Amino acid sequence: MDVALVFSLLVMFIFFLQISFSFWEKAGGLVAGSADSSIKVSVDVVPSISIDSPSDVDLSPNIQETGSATGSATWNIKTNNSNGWKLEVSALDTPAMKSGSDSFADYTEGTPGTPETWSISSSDSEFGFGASGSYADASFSGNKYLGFDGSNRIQVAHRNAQAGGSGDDTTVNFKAEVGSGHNQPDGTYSATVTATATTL
Amino acid sequence: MKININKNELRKASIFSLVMVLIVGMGYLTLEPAITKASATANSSVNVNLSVDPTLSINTPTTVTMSPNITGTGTSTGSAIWTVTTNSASGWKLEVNASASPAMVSGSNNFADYTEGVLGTPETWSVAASAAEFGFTASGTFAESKYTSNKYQSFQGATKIQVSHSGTGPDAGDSTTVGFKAEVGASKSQPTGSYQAVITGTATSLP
Repeated sequence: MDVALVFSLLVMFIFFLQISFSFWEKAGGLVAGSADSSIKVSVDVVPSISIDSPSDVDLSPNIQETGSATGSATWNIKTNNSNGWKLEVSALDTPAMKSGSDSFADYTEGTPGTPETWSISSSDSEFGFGASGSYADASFSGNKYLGFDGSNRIQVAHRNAQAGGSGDDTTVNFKAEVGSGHNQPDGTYSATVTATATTL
Repeated sequence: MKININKNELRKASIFSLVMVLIVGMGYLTLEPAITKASATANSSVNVNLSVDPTLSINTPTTVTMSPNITGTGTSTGSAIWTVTTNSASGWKLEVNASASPAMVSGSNNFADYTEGVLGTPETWSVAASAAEFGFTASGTFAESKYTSNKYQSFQGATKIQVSHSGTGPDAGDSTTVGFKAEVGASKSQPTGSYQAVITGTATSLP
């Protein structure tokens, strides 16, 4: 019998011996003449994350013919994940802000996906969002806005560390405007916006 | 019973088993952290609401001077254009009424309100030779069809009479022309004077 065969059989023997020992140990480990009893106590602390549910947002003021309205929601994230978290937002519909068959277009930034200072054409009505707070992504600084992209999640904030004891806040700022040359149908418009917090 | 075991086959099987045990074991050790530390997510939704209030406006046309002046008998006409702007998704209606009854007066003198054969039903203009009457019609894309072909009817004092509407909106400026007509019949002696009617156009958004 050559060496390789002996070695292989030896390893397999040890492997099955370990398994047998494991079962035997869990079964009580009875050994004649011994009264020892050991247990292993272990706990896994898995990453967890939670996000609060802010109340619905009523943009104000009401728009009469033309003009803009704003509002905001603040989401608080708590996590024990040492690598931190990220916050993304998405809209239920495309465009996001609707009233029956009428709608506000999603904000049209000059470079898609790049927040910019709010500016719409006089012939349009648009709805968009920005983000602020200690952990808001820098691209939103300076009160810059972006349009929603339906259910596609857009990151607005992150932190590369465990959240503080009371959680980390991020404020999402909403804005809608009817251009001076646009005749927007009257009605109560609504957008359902979902914030998703994920551990990094 | 004697079992013949091929030595080479036994060696291959043993080595294969060893390799598989090591692969499975190493795979588990490698993947286990990723399994137990998979990213966690949490969602929260809010409704963002915005009210766009209904708005409606109507212009103020300039005063209408009917022409020509009536010398003895004959007719005189004029018109005013009202333009309605609204963001009402369900449209608008335009009504007119007069401040007096009859509408066209000059002191104690007046033109009778036009007397259509069926009250409230516009008709082709026709005045008795012994009468002096004043009435109106409407035209334009949104005028009520009853006024088609230049049909006239009478004012009813302060009672509003619908002359046009739009069932859809919003409307950035829909115009309706209200035409006025006065006539002194061939045998009528109408007192001279500067007669005047104050006509109000009222635009209302439809529910």
